[in-house]
Amino acid sequence: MAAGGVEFSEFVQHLFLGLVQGSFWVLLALGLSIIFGLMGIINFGHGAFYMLGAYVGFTVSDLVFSPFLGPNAGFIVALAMVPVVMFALGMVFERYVISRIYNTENERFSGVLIMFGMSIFLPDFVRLIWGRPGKPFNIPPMFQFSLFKTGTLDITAYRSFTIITAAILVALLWVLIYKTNLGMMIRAGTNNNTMVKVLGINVSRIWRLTFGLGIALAGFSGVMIAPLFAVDATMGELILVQTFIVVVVGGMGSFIGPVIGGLILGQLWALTPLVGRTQYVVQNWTGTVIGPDFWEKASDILLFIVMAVILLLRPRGLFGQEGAFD
Amino acid sequence: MPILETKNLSKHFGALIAVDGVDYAVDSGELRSIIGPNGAGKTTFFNMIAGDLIPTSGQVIFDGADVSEVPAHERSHMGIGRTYQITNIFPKLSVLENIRIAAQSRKMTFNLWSTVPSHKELVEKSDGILERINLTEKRDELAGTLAHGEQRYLEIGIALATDPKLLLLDEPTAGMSPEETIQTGEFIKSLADPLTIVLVEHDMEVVLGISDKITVLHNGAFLAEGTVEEVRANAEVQRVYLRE
Amino acid sequence: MDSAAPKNRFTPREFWAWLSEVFDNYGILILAAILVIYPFLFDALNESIIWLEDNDWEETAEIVAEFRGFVPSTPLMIQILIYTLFGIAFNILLGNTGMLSLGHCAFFGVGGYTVGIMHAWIKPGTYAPDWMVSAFKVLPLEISLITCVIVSTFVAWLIGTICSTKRGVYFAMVTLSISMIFYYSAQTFDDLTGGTDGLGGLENMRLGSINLRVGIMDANITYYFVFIVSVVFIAAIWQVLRSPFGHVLRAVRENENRARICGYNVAKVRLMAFTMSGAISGIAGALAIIYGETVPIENIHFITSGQIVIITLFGGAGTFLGPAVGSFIYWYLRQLMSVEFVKYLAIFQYWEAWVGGIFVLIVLFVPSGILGTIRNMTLEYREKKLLNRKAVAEALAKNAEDEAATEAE
Ligand SMILES: Nc1ncnc2c1ncn2[C@@H]1O[C@H](COP(=O)(O)OP(=O)(O)OP(=O)(O)O)[C@@H](O)[C@H]1O
Ligand SMILES: [Mg+2]
Repeated sequence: MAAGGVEFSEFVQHLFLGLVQGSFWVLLALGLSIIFGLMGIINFGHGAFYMLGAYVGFTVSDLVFSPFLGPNAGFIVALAMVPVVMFALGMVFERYVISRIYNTENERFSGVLIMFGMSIFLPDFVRLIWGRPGKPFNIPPMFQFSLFKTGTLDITAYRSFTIITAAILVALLWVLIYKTNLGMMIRAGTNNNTMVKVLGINVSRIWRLTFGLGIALAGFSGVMIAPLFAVDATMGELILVQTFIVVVVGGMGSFIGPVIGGLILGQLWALTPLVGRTQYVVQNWTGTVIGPDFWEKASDILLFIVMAVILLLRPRGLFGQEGAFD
Repeated sequence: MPILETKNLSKHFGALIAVDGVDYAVDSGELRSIIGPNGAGKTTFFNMIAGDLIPTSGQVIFDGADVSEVPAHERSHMGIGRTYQITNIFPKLSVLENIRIAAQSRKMTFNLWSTVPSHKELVEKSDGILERINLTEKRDELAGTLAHGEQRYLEIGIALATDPKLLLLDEPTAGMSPEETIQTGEFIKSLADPLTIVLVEHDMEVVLGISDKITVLHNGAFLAEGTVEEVRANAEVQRVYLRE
Repeated sequence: MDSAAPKNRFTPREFWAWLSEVFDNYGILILAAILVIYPFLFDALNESIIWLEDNDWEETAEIVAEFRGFVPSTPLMIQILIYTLFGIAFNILLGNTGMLSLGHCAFFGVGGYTVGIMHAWIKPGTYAPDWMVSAFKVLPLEISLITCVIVSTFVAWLIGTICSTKRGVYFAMVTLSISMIFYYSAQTFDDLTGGTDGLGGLENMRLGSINLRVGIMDANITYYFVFIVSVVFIAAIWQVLRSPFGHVLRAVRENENRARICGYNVAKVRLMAFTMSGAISGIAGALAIIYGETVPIENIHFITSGQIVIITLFGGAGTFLGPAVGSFIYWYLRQLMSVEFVKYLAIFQYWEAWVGGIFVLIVLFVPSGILGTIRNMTLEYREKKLLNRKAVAEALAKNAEDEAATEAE
C-alpha cells in the first residue's frame, strides 16, 4: 500500500490524523445541518461559538476547577460543563436576538447576517475578555500516553478519545434525528419549512432547543479540540469554512452526507502532504518538480478545489436532497 | 396541425402519480377547458407544458417541436404564456412595471445603455395592455396593494404582454365574486382567437359558457373529452365529477 | 374646511422628510461639489492652524487642532470613496438582484493583488521575464489597472459560474467558502503575495500617460485619481441600474419564478449581475491599495466582506446612494473610535467587536438602513400631503355644492 518514499506506518499515522480532523468536521457539520434543517438559517457564527467553547472550557478547567481538583478532573468538568453553558447561551441568544427576526421580511437573510455579525464580534470580544495572546491548553495527564507506537506511527490516547467521543455523539444525534419527535420535525423542516410552522406545535420552543443544541455541539467540539491545537481567537475561522465545505460536499439536508463528507475530506486533507514524498514526480507547466513543500501547504486549498468541482458536477452534494436549498 | 400536443405525458412525485399518461391536443385558435376534481393533476399538467416541471416520461410538442426538456424561459419565447392558480406577480413593483417587464422580455434582456421609457413601442404596448385589463388608472400603484380580482387580471396582463400563441390559465376566477367571475369569463372569451387558450377552471358556469371543448382529468389520467353536451352526457364524468 | 389642512407641519419626522426631499433633488450636486473641493477644504483647515500658530493665537490654534481630529482627513475620504464604489457595486447584487454574497472580499482582494503583484514583481531583479521588465522602465498604473479589470472580471465570472445557480442563504455560504480559497492561497503562496505580512514594495506607482505619481506621497493627487475612477464607475452602475437590464434585475429579485416564465434566463441574468458586481469590486480593491502602497492580507479576508455588507445595509440596501452614507459613517466612526475615543476608553481598540455588534443591531433595528428609513418617511410624508390635498379639494367641492344648494333654495 505504501507508495515510494512513504512508509506504511506513516501512511497509517496520516489516516489516523485525518480521522481525528474528520470527526470534528462531522460534529460541526451536523450542528450546522440541524440548525439549518429546522430554522433555515446557516449559522455563520458556528466557528465563533466553537472558539468561544474552547475559551469557556479554558476558564472552567484551568482557572476554576483544576486548582482544586487537579488537571484531569478539571478537564472532565470542562467537557461536561461547556455544552451546558453553551446550550444555555444558545437558548438565550435565540430568545433575545434571533427570535426578533422571525416573520419579518427576509427573515433568513437577517438570520444569516446576524450570525455573520457574531462571527466578527465574538473573536474580538474574546480578545477583550481573555486577552490577545492565545491560551495554552494541555492534554490532561491521564490521556498523555500512546495506545500504540511503532516508528512514525503514534496512536495517542487523547486523539483516540476524541474519535470515540465523536462517534458516540454522532450515534446519539442519529437517534435524536431519526427516533424522536424533535428529529422528525428537523427532517420535516429540511424539506419544507412552512410545514413545521403550519403544524402549529410550540415551534418557538423547539427552535430554541435546536439552536441551543447546535451551539452546544459547537462549543463541545471547541473544548475537545483545544488540547490538540492552539486556542486563540481566530481558531474558528478556518474550521468554519472547512465545515461549510464538508456540508457542500456531503450535501445538506441529509444525515449521512456530512458524516461521509467529513470523513472523506478528513482523509484527503491528511493524506495530501504525503503526495510530495511518494515516488511519483509531479511537475508544473514549466517542468519544475513540485516539491514536498507545496504538498504540505496544499491540503487546505485542495479542499476548496474539491468543493468547487462538486458544486459544478453535483450541485446538491453527494447525498443532498432535492429542494433543500430552493 | 395542433399547436400543442402531449403524448403519454406523465409526472411522478415519488410514489404519487400526479399525471398519468395523458394524450392531449389543442388546435390553433381553440378555447379549451380542463376540469377535474381537486388533486386531479391539472396544475401539474400545466407545469409540464410551461416548463416549471420536467416530465417523468412522455412528450410535450409545441408548434411541431418537442419541448419536453426545454427550459421554461425558452418556452416563453416560443409562445407559451401562463398564469398560476395562486396569484404570481411582482408584488413590489408597480402595475405598469409588472406589464412592462413582461413586454420587455420580447425585446431585450441585456440592454445596459438605454432607459426603459425611451423605448416607445414598449411604452405603447404596456399602455395597450393596461387598457385591456382595465388597470390604466392604477398603473402607478404597487401590484401587491391591488384588490384580489385586479391582481388576477394583472397576471393575465403579464402573460399577454409576452405575446403568447398559447395561453394557459390556471383557475383565473379563483377567489372572485360571482359577478367578477362572469365578467372574467367574458374577458377570456374576448381574448380567444387568434390566441389559443387552455383554461383550468372549477367554476362550471364559466367553463360551460365559453369552452369549445372540455377535457376531464381524474386521478391524473384522461377521463373524457368532448363538447359541452358530450361531456355532460358522459356517464363516467357524471359519476366522478358533476354529481360529486 | 381649514381643519383638513395640516396643522403642526414640522414634527421632527416631517422635518427629516423635508430634508430628504431637498437632498433628493439637490443632494447629489451639493455632495459632488463638496467632494470636488474636499482636499482643499482640509488643507485650508491645516493651514489655518499653522497660520494661527504663526500669529500667536496659540489657544485658538489648539481648539482648531482639536476640532480637526473630528474632521475626516483626505486619506480617510479616499477610503470612504473606495468603499462607496465597492458598496454600490456590491449592492448591484444585494439591493437590486436580491443575492447576498459574502464572498466579495475575493474580488476586492484579487483586484488589489493583481495590481500589487504586477508592481512588485515587474521590475529588475525579480522573477518577471526580461522582456517585460525592459518594456516598462516603470510599470504604468494604467496597464496594471486594465489587467486588474480583466482578471477580476474573469474571476467573478468563474466564481459566478460555480455559485449563481444557488439561492438565498446557500448562495451566501458558497460564496463565502469560495472566497476563502483566495485568502488561504494568498497565505500559502507567500513568496508571491507576501503572505500574512501583506505585499509591500509598491512605491512609485505612476500614471504613465501623464507621468503622475500617486500614492502615499501625495494624498491630494491620489484623492482626485480615486475620485475620478470611482465617479466614472458609479455613474456606469447608475446607468446600468436604470437600464432595461436593471429592471430585469429587480424583477428577478421580486419573483424569480415569474421572471423566468416571462422569458428571462434567470441564471444568466444572475451570472451577469454577479460578474459586473465582482469586476467593479475588483477595481475598488485596486484603488484601495494605491494610497497605502501595500496590499494587506485583510483585504481578502471575509471580514472585508462583512464590512461591505454592513456598509451597504447601514446606508440602505434598497437605495442607490445608501452605500455612500454607510461608507462615510462606517469609516468616520471607525477613525474616531480608534484615534479619539480610544484615548478615554481602551475598549474602543477592539474595533471588530464593535463592527460585529453594530452589525447585529443594524440587522435587528434598522433593516432598511439610514437612507431607506428616511426614504420611507419621505414617502409617508408625501402620501400624507397628497391625502391632505385631496381632502382639501373635496372639502372645497363639498362647500361649493352646499352653497349652490342653499342658493337654489
Ligand atoms: N411538487 C410536488 N411535490 C409532490 N407532490 C405534488 C407536487 N405538486 C403536486 N403534487 C401532488 O400531485 C397531485 C396533483 O396536484 P395538482 O396540483 O396538479 O392538482 P390540481 O388538479 O391542480 O388540483 P386543484 O384543483 O386543487 O388545483 C396532488 O396530489 C398533489 O398533492
Ligand atoms: Mg391546481
